[in-house]
Amino acid sequence: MSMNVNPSSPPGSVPGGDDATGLVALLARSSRGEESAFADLYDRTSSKVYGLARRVVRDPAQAEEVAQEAYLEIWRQSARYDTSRGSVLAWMLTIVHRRAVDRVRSSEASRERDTKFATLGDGPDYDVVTEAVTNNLETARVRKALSTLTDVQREALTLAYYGGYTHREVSELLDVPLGTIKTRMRDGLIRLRDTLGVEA
Amino acid sequence: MTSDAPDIHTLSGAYALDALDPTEATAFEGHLESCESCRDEVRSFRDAVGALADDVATPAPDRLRTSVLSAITAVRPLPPVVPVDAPSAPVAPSGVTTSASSEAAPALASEELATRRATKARRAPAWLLVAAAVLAVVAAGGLWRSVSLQQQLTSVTAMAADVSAVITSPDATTVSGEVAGSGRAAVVRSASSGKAVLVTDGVPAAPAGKTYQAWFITSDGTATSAGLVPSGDHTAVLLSGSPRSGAVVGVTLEPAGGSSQPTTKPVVAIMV
Ligand SMILES: [Zn+2]
Repeated sequence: MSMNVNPSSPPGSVPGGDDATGLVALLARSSRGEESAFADLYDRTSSKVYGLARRVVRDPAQAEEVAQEAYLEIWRQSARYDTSRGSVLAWMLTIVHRRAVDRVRSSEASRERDTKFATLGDGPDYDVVTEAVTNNLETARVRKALSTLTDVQREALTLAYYGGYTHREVSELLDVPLGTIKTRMRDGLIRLRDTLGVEA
Repeated sequence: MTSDAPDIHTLSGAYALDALDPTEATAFEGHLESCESCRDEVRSFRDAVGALADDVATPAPDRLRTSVLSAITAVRPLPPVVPVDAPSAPVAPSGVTTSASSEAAPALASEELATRRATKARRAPAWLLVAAAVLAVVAAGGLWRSVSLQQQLTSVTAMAADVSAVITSPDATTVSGEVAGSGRAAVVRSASSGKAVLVTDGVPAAPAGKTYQAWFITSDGTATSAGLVPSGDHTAVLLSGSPRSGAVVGVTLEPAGGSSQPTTKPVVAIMV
């Protein structure tokens, strides 16, 4: 990657590292209506925000809409961010992810997907999804962390997070009982978290 | 193997991945109110999944930057606390004042249920006053021009006088609840006039071809339509009919135009 959009994230940082990136301060200034601070915040986060939206909804035009809605919500809610609830980036990405997931679950696209899903039966759909995801993982660190997971853990995580699938859908896609999927999602996140060194 | 009653703590992972169904997410958020270890766990999971987002980073189109930065000029960041000084409209009604300190708003609405889910509040939550303020601004001629909300708020504008009459009535009581998925809703009810207003905040727009519809639901399960609820980030609508104290106001997603009886599970149910 070249040196565009992302000057602020040192390699190997986890999203907990707001202090290094000044996101907390930028958000605080945004909450006082400083548009230039929000522009900085945008520049430091847009590739992640847009990339996540794009990953989940796929359609570039819809991804832009989701990212735009998310940024407006972040702007509006900026005074309500609370440091005790996690990093600024994690807070922002949660907003983005929810909006992206809402979009795929409520849109026409999702109805089509569901239809396809029903007719596919136990087809290899998820392999395509996870493979695409895996190929796009750019840092060795996250790849490595993901590689420490079991197959089911990894697939459950990526299908839910990148694919926007519910745990029921994941259970169907992987043909693994729902109760097991729930547990695997949690186990997988614990292992991912610990491998990445996020503070528990 | 069936797992009909799994330990609710195990849902933390699916919750952090936004993979629960709305009703399950609501139930888990209820659990989060009382389970500190799940709250901590969800927070740490969020930081971890943030790293996954790192790795799908994609440069955003330039026009997104232009469009975001232009849109924010027309939207005022919500204040951390009230009071709100909106022009020319009743915003901080006497019956529902709030004190400044206690409503430091949530990092994420749906995680902040603890104190506020479906609790009878004498003081209106800050976000409700903010919603009222937004309505006042809209009614006063509108700052929301550049955002697509304006359309959706048109019908709200027409209702604003009725709405503010209820919200500002001296005997107004407010009960709020979390909306499954995201957002919050509150019912402001004036016993003397028998009227009630439904206020929403951060509720996603209804999918194409659907609408939100409000219901009065009695203890025996009888539902009576209380009217359609406009979509939008901040809406307030006068409910048609008079809920009795102890009735439940529920909101469901229905086919456009509404239904005569609810056809889906409520996204929120609030006892007034
Ligand atoms: Zn718990």
